[in-house]
Amino acid sequence: MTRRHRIESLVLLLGAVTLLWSLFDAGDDLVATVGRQPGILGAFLVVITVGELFRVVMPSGRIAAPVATGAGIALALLGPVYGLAEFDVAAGVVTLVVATALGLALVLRTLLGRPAQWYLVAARTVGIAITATLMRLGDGDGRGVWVWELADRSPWVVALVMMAAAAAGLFADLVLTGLVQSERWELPATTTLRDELGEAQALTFGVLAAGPLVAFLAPVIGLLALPLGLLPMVLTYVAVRRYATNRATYRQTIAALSRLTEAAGYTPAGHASRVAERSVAIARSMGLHADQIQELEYAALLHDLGQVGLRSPIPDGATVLAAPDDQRRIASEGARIVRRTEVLDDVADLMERQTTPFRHVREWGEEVPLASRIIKVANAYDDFSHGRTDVVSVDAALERIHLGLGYEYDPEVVEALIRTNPVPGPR
Amino acid sequence: MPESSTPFLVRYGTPIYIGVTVVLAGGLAVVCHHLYGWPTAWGALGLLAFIGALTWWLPSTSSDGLSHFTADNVVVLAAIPIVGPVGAGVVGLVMAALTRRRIPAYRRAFNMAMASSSAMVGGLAYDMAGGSFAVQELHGAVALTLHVGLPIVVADAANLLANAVLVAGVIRLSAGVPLRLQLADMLTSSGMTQFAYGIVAFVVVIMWLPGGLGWVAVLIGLAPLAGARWALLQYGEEREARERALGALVAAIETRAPELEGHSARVSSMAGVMAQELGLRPKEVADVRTAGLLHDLGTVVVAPGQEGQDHRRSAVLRGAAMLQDLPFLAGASAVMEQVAYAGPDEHAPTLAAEVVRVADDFDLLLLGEGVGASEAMERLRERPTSADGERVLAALARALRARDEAAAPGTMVTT
Repeated sequence: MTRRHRIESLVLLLGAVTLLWSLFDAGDDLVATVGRQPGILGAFLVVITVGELFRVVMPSGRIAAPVATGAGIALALLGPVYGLAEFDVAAGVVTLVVATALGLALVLRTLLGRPAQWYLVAARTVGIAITATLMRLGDGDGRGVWVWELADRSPWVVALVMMAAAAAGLFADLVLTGLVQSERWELPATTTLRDELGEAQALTFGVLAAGPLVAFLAPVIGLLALPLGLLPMVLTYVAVRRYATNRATYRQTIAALSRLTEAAGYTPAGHASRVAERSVAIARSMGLHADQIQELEYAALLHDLGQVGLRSPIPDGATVLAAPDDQRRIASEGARIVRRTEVLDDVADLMERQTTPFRHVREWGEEVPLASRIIKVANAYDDFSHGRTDVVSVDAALERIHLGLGYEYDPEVVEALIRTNPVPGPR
Repeated sequence: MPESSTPFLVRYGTPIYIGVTVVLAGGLAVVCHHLYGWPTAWGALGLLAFIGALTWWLPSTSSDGLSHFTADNVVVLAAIPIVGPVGAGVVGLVMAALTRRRIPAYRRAFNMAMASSSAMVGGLAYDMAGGSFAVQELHGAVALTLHVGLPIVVADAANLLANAVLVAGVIRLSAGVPLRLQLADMLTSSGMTQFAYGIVAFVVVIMWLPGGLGWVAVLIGLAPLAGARWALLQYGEEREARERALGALVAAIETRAPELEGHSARVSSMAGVMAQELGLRPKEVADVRTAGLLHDLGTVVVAPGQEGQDHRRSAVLRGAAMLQDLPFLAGASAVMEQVAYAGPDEHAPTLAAEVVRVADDFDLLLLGEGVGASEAMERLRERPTSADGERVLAALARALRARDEAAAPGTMVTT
């Protein structure tokens, strides 16, 4: 086990232990249960497998599969509804069905050439096992919450209990996934956990509520509950996908704007996107929030836009070599153009402040946003290295930046720059 | 020539239409009462109206018209089997009456009449499709699907269509947008999502009546849509932001060529109106607007000191090429390319491109040469043109007339 993949390996191990426990829990009844309820278990297996093929990658990097997650939670919540044995499935069987479906989907994804991550299967299996177990706690025969017959209880109390059990499992899944991602992307765990748990809380709530919906429909319309109860999740998937695609095209629009100066020959090709990429890497390693990172990325992409107003281009478009007054003029011209959109005012502020030297912060207490200080360092790094990644260029750029450390550049940002490993070679 | 240019209709068309819609709602209420009687479950009706009003209080619609979250639709459709068509009409009426937005009384009256009429049309369609008003007596998936599920789908479609027709009518009279275009726009954009959300009403009805959950069914049915609503709102906001980001491109153009201040926005606006006058599809109208806005982009994408050195065609093509990578601007980019191939004395290969070219030339005549609108029109007419060119010039004349009329006092605009 390498140090780098320690958490991922632990999550995989936890998934494997959960599976072993499921086999133990299902015990001798496994074959009998599968034989008794082939329709219900088969339907869930198919829906979860197909649902996993329709994933959405959220802007923060979180992977959402609302249909599959909603179906998994629904199966975990099913039980002897109204005393009907046909919906009574042991927690171990639930976990095995979900794990099988997720594994199957992963194999299909691999065959289709799509990214496949086993740690996601492990984390989700653990989460479902928790929900299914919680729903069956508190009663000797494993029927748990369902021994409160719906007829005797307020439906909203039963719905709340189901939501709570579903939430416990889903949050365990999100925490495990967040920890692995922090390890994979070499980011502070607090950052990925905050993004994983904090982003799209309405989406998380919606997915949690899908389970109780299927469970309430099942006794009335049987297996038809599955497609009907998951319809809101299908609509959610469509909406979330549209949102994620739109976010991508919004970014493309900003990127197109940033290319204006390159197409006109003011700045070297790829400069804006390199500065943006480097800025985002630094910001992530410094633990900035996803929203701040997004604004930072836009500001970094557009930081040279003001050059379109210049009568003659500065050599190589390198603002770091321009006189401080010219730097400020370019930044405020760019900010003026961006403010015309009326929706990117915060981005314009970041652009405007990115020319301020760090000594103004240190000596005069001037408030310069961290994002602006990051762009200043990333821009200088790209200007000094001319976008090259060979050792000589990288060393030369870092040396020039060190000359202005604490005076021109924020030392903490420079430290983060070095942490993001600008030295060439495999990462 | 559009009817809206008739002074009487321009001045009184909208109030008359609102009056007719109120009478229609009253007529439908009488018919539904005659056929189905008064609702019996007044408690359920009150709860549905209250929950429906709450959904209207949620921020639900984004600005683009594509991302409409329609929880209100679910409540109205669920009301049909639970409290009957008259009850559904009352639910629609109360929901629209209690809407949070501050709007003039005549608009609120129209919204109430429209929501109520659409709900009752949905109720009639539900009955005609074999829908049951005694759902608790139905058992099993097949019976519930045949006598509740499918009829709700039919009611959903009828409700949506009635709503779209009534709204398109008022927009036709108040803003002059052709009925057919407005209908097509509404049904093909937000219509599909509204329809899909409507089906959730079936789920609510099953849980409310046979499931015995009562009003909690509405909450449990709507809760899973929280994620969809969130995503659609985000989508709408970001889509608007994306469109606005194009404003920065215009600002960049005007930074390089200050003499063009306001030109892009005027060309975009005029070309958009002309495209609508010509009956182009909504997507084409949007492409024409964007192409009008960004047609001078190529002038920025040129090294300093080189402005005006190259041919206009290559400048426009350069601008179009910059937009090619943006999927949502592919249509506008294509229009810009077509504009590039239209010389001073030859028309553009498509109607959309000809619209942009004529709007651009017209504004440049006003701006650059300082001539009046009528003289600019005359100059454009003097140029050799094709049948398409004639149609575009006629559309320009109509757009100018509509603009003048809209500026005249006494017109009532409701959208």
